[in-house]
Amino acid sequence: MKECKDVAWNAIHFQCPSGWEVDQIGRRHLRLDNGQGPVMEVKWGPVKGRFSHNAHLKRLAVLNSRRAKGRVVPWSLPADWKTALADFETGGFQWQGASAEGRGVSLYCPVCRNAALIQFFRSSPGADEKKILAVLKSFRDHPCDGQIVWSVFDIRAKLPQSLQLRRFRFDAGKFELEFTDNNQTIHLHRWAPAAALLGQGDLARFAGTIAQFSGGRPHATTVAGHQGIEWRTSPSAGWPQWIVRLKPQLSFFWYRLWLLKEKNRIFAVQAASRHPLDERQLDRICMDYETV
Amino acid sequence: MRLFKRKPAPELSRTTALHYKPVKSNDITEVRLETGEVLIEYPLTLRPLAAAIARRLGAAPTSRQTKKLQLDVLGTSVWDLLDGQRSVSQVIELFARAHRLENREAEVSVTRFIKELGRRGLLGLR
Repeated sequence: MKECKDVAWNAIHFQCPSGWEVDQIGRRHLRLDNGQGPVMEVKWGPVKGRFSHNAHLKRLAVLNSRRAKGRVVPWSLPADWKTALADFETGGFQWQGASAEGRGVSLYCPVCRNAALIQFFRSSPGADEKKILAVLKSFRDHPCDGQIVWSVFDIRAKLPQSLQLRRFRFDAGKFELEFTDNNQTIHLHRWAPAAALLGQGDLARFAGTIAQFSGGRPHATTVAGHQGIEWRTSPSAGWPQWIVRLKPQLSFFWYRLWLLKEKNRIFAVQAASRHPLDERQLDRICMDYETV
Repeated sequence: MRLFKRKPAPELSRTTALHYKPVKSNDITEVRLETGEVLIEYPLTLRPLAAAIARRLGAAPTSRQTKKLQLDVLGTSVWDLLDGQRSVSQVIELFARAHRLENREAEVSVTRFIKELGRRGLLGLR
């Protein structure tokens, strides 16, 4: 079994022990739990203007005093924390509440002008210094190759930076992430357990039971060696394609579902646009969308 | 202002809750369908006001109303794991292994299922 795993969400990327799992997730917020309680929390966002650790600390102190009835005080970071976070401007803090206590660091990245706040809860056993240092050492807040990795729970995807997260949903059995840029909307889906969902039927029948995927004429395909189906709908060539560009509705649709038999999962990518879709980009997204 | 404020139920930690053993009610009858799925018939408990209205409308005081609930494939597989001996955490583990799911995802499904059956009076926790 792997000792650590990747967590990547909305441009944030770090490694953590494999026993830590995301238990709260927001657009720019992650809280991890180790099975016995919350162990780590990360919040981040872009900074407009000048960044001040003290201003962030004051804001945090107000929030914390309301929530945990604890007092946040500045904390001098240990040398190994500073070394691990050498790429960032840092400021430490700690707090103590009635039932828990924590310490953390506010970070500012001069490259991407993002501020992040990472805190580790002390009440939870298992968050020892070595693990914390490993998390901090691996922490990144912007991609280097124009591709953003998304890796939470058991899914991992890589998407162009231009695609922004619009909506997400993690329900037991069904995950859905929706991304958009100015031209297109892309949905990533994941269903499990596949065997129970498919029953005696196949992927085409399964697709027919889902409102977003029904109504197509699927044909067989393979995605990284896995059996799948895909289809597209678009206005017929010629003047209809020009006319639809004037309409506000989306007219070009692309669907692909595939079955990961050994993992018992069904994956799908769905794209929609008012303009013809870039199928090579969609192929790459499908290839990089996998289960971990 | 309420004079008799209801005491809040004691908070149960996740770890404690996972150690409880779900036990099926004695008042239910279960039928295995041809598809392998389970059909549960359970008595309907009417609230006092609803029972009084039913009596006024002519229902016999001793008449026993029942309801049926058909479980799907996943519900059936959890139901089959409930033997009164296994704890919730053991059921989650077995369910996750059987369907190759992450433990946390299996936990959400199984606990939601147990909670729903508990609300209907089909299960209790020991």
